[in-house]
Amino acid sequence: MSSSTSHNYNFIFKFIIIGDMGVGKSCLLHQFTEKKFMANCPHTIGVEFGTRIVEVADKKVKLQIWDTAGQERFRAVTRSYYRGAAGTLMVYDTTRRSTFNHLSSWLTDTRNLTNPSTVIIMCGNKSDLETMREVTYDEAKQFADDNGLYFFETSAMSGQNVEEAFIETARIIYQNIQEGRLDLNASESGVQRRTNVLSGPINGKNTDMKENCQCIV
Amino acid sequence: MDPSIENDHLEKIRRRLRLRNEQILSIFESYQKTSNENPNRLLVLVESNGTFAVFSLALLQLPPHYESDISIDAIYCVNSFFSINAEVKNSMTFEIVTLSDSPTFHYYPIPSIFKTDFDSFHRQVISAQEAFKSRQELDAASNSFSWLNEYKVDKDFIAIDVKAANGTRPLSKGVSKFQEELKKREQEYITYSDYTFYCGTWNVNGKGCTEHSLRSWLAKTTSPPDFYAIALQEVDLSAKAIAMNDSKIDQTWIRKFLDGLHSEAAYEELVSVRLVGMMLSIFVKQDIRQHVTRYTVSSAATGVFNVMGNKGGVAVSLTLNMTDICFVCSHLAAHMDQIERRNLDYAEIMKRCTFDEVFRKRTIKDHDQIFWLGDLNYRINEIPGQIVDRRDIAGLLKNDQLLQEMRKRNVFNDFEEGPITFNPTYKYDPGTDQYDSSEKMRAPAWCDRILRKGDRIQLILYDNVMEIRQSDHKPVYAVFSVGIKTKDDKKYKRVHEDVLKTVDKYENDNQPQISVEKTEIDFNEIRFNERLTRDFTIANSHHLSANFSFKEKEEQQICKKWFKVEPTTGTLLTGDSLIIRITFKGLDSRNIGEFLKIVKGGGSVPLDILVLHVQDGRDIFITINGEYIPSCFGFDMDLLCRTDRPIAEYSLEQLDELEKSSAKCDFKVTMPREIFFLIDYLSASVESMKDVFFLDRKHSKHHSLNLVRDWLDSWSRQDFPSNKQVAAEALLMLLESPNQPLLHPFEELFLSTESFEVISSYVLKLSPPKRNVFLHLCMFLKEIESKGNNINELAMIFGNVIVKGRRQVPGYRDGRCQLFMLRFLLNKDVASFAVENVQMEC
Repeated sequence: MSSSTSHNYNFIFKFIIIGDMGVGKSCLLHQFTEKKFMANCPHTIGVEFGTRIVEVADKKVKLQIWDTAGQERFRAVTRSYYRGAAGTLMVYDTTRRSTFNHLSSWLTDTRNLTNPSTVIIMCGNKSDLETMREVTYDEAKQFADDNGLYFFETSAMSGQNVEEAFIETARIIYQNIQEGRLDLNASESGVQRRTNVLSGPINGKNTDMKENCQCIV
Repeated sequence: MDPSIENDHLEKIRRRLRLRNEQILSIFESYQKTSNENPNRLLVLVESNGTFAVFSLALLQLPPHYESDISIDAIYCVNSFFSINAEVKNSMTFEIVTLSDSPTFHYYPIPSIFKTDFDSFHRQVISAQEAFKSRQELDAASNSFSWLNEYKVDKDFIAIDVKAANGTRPLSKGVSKFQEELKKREQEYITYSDYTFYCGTWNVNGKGCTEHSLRSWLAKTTSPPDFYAIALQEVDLSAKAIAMNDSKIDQTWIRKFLDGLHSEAAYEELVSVRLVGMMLSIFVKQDIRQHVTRYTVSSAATGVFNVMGNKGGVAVSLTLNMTDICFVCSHLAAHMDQIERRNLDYAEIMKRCTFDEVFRKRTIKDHDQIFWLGDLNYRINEIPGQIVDRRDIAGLLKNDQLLQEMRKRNVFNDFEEGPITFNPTYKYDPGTDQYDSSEKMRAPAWCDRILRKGDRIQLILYDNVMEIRQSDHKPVYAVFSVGIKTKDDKKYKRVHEDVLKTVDKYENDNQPQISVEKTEIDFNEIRFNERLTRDFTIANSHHLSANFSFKEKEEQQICKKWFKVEPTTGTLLTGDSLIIRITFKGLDSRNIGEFLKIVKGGGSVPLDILVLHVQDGRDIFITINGEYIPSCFGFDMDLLCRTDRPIAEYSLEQLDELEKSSAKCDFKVTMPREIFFLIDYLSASVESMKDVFFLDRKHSKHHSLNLVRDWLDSWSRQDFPSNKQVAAEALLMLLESPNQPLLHPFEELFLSTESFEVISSYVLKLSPPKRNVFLHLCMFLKEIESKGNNINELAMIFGNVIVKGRRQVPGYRDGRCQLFMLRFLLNKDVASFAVENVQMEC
């Protein structure tokens, strides 16, 4: 079977990760794509990306994740990366209250620069450092609820909730597509659909021969 | 466990590992811990000619029910670098220390169906290693692990795509990489299942079927075949059929076939194809019909002029599970001496029978298995003087043209035919088993043949049918057992998941990378009208070539207008480096105001941030820093009147403060000293004021301008460091460089009003420093006019500068500015108005 236009996934979702410097954005991405903790991770001077294909409701979804620099002076430049994000992971550090306090400013940027259907997930990272905690779960949860955000406490170090945060974001986006809340034709939806997809692991019922055959008889 | 069951498991493992002379010495059951699951691992110690290896097998289920439940996870050579340690009780570690950073593999034991405990397995591995080592000392050369080569799985790509790196092929994108990997690992999820193919061919001599039943031809096997391919030739010999290249399927034949197929299975016609006399029909057992996922037909005429369909071929291409199969029915050129022509017909059919697919044309060659049926018309060469016994099949076969041509590789290369054990199939008196008794007395021949090409085809039967007598040919049939590639869904799912992960990793690991010498570029001190450059190196030490470009930001610019980046795009091959030059083009009277607006905010704000984009990779931000050393150029007259010491003694922040606190801070002077110094210097030599001011501002790039700048900024008591042309240019620059022009905020009023009185009233409303500068200028211009300067030209030059400021496009002059200046300067009352209203003291 010729398959030069087939794809190994049904959708591409674009994600961005934002938040203050040093909250662990790159480590979250690395933990998600490589399943490893990256110790001594250097500051991101720019924007890096990683991809991973995940399965959401029997569909293969390629997550294309943009990890942005958190330094304040880059704010103006990184804003240009928000456009066309289907999902935003807004990260703070549970052991530094200032990073939590800045969330409303990050949220303002996200709301202003992404489209209304963008799914925003708030991640309180470094949950493994319980003794150094400065922001309680309840307080953060309250903030998330007040602002209509999904919320996870994550640890890029232990991997706790990292899969969940990314995959839950993808799941919500997919659900939005299914339920018509996300218009794929809108520019900057952050989602691309691939129609010609290689057959999945299990062959379904035999497809209609009329579509598959060029019968000259 | 029952020993027979254990043997059964062992046998599955042996088969899976394709073991021949190798011996399984010990088996140990364990599992591994990965981040998501704890997969079972069967560790198997295998010996081959004195070398040993431990196979780590992954199992779909334990114990394995099928051979395909077993796949090879890893293989460890038991050489001198190998070690196996029981680090913790009941856990074990493989360490392979050929490389210092090689990983350690951990296995954890589980209760075994193979009754091997860790200690005995450990003992056997250790003794295997001892045996290897002692043998190595005796004969270093003979210790070969080459028997393991066939198990090697290519995993190079995980870190580095070598071919992409050395440029022999482009980097695979995710999708093609995915297909490539799936194909590469095909053997892990492909199993073969046997199907029975019945192939029959018959030249019917232009007559409809008169046989009562074709069962004696078509139902020859004890169990029903899975596929039938039935080929007829000379279905219709009429001139009309030939002329029309008739391709209508003759349904009476189809009914006859269906009636004659094996009675123990239900069949359906998959497809038939006809060209004049040639017809090919494919029938398939109904219960396997769904496994045919694709079929197309094709035909090629090789008769007269290669267009008439009395000779040629028809063909069906289909995909059964994952195997591509082609059936061809052909009728090649007739007559004893036409061997060459028959060979050509074959080549022509091979070339011209093509099957349209979405993105390409498939030819007969592009199939895993090909079955070629038909009246190939090859005869038995007669050797003059030799009388051949027509019952001596072996003797006749020696002179069979087809076998001779195939041996010479003139035709049907790589095709095979089963041994012929039946009588020649041509030419008989219809209705009898008698060879041709007509006048022509045609010699008997095996015209009708069945050939095949491809792997895993086993011939079961090959025969003719003597008792079907209606034609001058006898029907021929062959039955094959054919191994068809079939996807093992469970295994495929596992490989599929695995490949997805692999491709993810491939994509992430094969992002082009560029390293940057520094991400902060510091221009240190930046001054008005000074050009600076900074270089930094970017390099590609990654294994892939990288295309880079500086990304456009707001206003489609990659950087602020006073910077220039060179080069802005490029390609870096592995090992290449390149110098990027950032030029600070310098601030002039046109852009200084805008620049000041940006830097005034404070020292910590970068002058610019460049985005260095690596194609298919990350973006790197390059921050440009620098400290602006203030100069009088660019500041408003009001501010320059508030300073109480030279500008050079102020920092940017102090000037910013001074501006913000304008309410409480009075003017220290009536007009900026800098303006005064310049007018004063020029007035001193007013006797020779010709050729000082130029419309084309030709001294704006003069090398001594910066000396004048420093002279002004330090309120120097030294002599003026340049000449009056440069002083004149500096005056113009000082007037035009602030954000607001001198006559702000009444620019438009001045331009549109003709009455001197009204204009005067607005002049009086200007801020005192601006008013004073303006009136001083007017007096100065009147003075030099009186020394023979052209007032029109002066009005043109100054009109633009003081009304429009730096906002004018270079080269553009608003004629209204000149008119305004002339109106004012030429008014008879201007001198007295100026004298009356210029403020001499604060």
